Amino acid sequence: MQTFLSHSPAETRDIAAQLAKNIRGGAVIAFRGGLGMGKTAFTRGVVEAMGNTAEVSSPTFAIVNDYGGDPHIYHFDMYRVETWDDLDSTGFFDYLNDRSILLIEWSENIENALPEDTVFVEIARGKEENDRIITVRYGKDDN
Amino acid sequence: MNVLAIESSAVTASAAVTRDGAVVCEEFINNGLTHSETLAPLAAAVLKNAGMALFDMDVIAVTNGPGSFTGVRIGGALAKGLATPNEIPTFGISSIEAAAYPFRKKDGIIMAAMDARRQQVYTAFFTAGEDAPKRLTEDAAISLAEAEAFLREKAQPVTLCGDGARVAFEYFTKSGLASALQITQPEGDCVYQRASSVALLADYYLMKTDKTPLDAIFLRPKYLRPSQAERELAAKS
Ligand SMILES: Nc1ncnc2c1ncn2[C@@H]1O[C@H](COP(=O)(O)OP(=O)(O)OP(=O)(O)O)[C@@H](O)[C@H]1O
Ligand SMILES: [Mg+2]
Repeated sequence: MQTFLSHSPAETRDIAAQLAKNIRGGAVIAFRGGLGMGKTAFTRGVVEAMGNTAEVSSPTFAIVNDYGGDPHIYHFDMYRVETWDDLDSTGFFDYLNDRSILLIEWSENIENALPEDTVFVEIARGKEENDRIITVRYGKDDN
Repeated sequence: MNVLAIESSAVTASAAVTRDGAVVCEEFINNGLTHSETLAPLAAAVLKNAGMALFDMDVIAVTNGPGSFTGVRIGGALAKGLATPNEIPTFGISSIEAAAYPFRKKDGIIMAAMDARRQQVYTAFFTAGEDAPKRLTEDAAISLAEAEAFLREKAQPVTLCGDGARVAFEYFTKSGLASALQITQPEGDCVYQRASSVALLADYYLMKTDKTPLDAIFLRPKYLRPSQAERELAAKS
C-alpha cells in the first residue's frame, strides 16, 4: 500500500504517471471514491504516461471509452452498472485479457467481478479544497 | 449452394466461402479481440480470393453465440450489414456446434466447450454424425462439475474441443475423471471454431434438412449467462 497527497489536478496527474511506470498489459486499475474526486483526472495521467494520445473524458454515457494503443486502454464508468448482465454487455469480460489495461471508475459497483491482482486507487478529500489523499493498493489482499 | 460464413464468437475470428459443401477459401486470425477491425476485411478477402462477389452468395452464415459478448455482436452486425442491402438470407449456427464439427466422426462423446470463467463453460455434448455432430444436449452454461457428472454417467471416451478444452482438461485431470475415462484434447489451433465449419454446417442444414434460412432482421444472438446467482456484484456498503 502506498499513500500520496495531491494538492492539485496537475499533481494528481503526476502521481498517476508514476504509477503507470509499473503498469503492463493485463492490469486492472479500479478507482474508489465519490463524485469529483479526480478519477478521470488520474486516468488522464495514466493514459498520457503510457504514450497514448487519445483524449480522455468521463465515459458517463458510453460506459466504456476505447483509447486504443498498445497496450490497449479501456476506460469504464460503472456508475450505472447494476447486474452481471449489465456488466457483461459492457464488454468487460472480453477486455479482461493480458493485452489490455482497464481503468474503472465507480469500481465499487463491480467489486466482486474484479480480478485478485487489481490495483485499487482510492481518492479521498484532504484538509484543503484541492487536497486529495490517494491510496494505492496492489491486489485485493493489500490492505 | 454458395455460402459466406463469418465467425467471431470468441478470441479468434475467421471467414470462409464454400461452394456445394467444399471450402473454396478461408481466413483465420488469432490475434486477440480485434474483430471490430479485422472481421470485415477478412470477409472481403475470402470473397476476393474465391473469385466471387457478395451477390453470388446464396446465404450468409454466422455463429450467433454463445461466446464473447462483443464478438457475437460484431459477427451478427456484419452478417446483417452484408445481407440486408443485398437481400441475401442468413443462417445462425451455434459456436459450440461449429467447434465440434471437425470432430464429428470421433467415437464416444464429443464435448465442445468455451471458457465462461470461474470453472464454468458454455458447452454441449455430441456423438458421431455423418454430416454434423449428433447433438445430445442443447448449448448451456454449466459448471465443469456438472459437465463431469454428465460424462461419468455416459462412461465413454471423450474428445474435448473448443477454446475451453484446456480448462476443462485441467479440471478433469485434477478431479480424477481423466484417469477414469479416456479423454483426448486436440492439439493446437484445431480447438477453435472456424468459419469453414460454420459454412459447411449451414450448407448441410439448408440442403439436407428441412431448416430454412432467415431474413437478416430475424437473426438474433443467443447469449447464455453463466450462473452468478450466488454472488453479489457490488461491494457490500
Ligand atoms: N488534487 C486534485 N486532484 C484531482 N482533481 C482535483 C484536485 N483538486 C481539485 N480537483 C478538481 O476535481 C475535479 C475532478 O474531476 P474528475 O472528473 O477527474 O473527477 P471524477 O472522480 O472522475 O468524478 P466523477 O465521479 O464525476 O466521474 C476537477 O474539477 C478538478 O479540477
Ligand atoms: Mg469521472
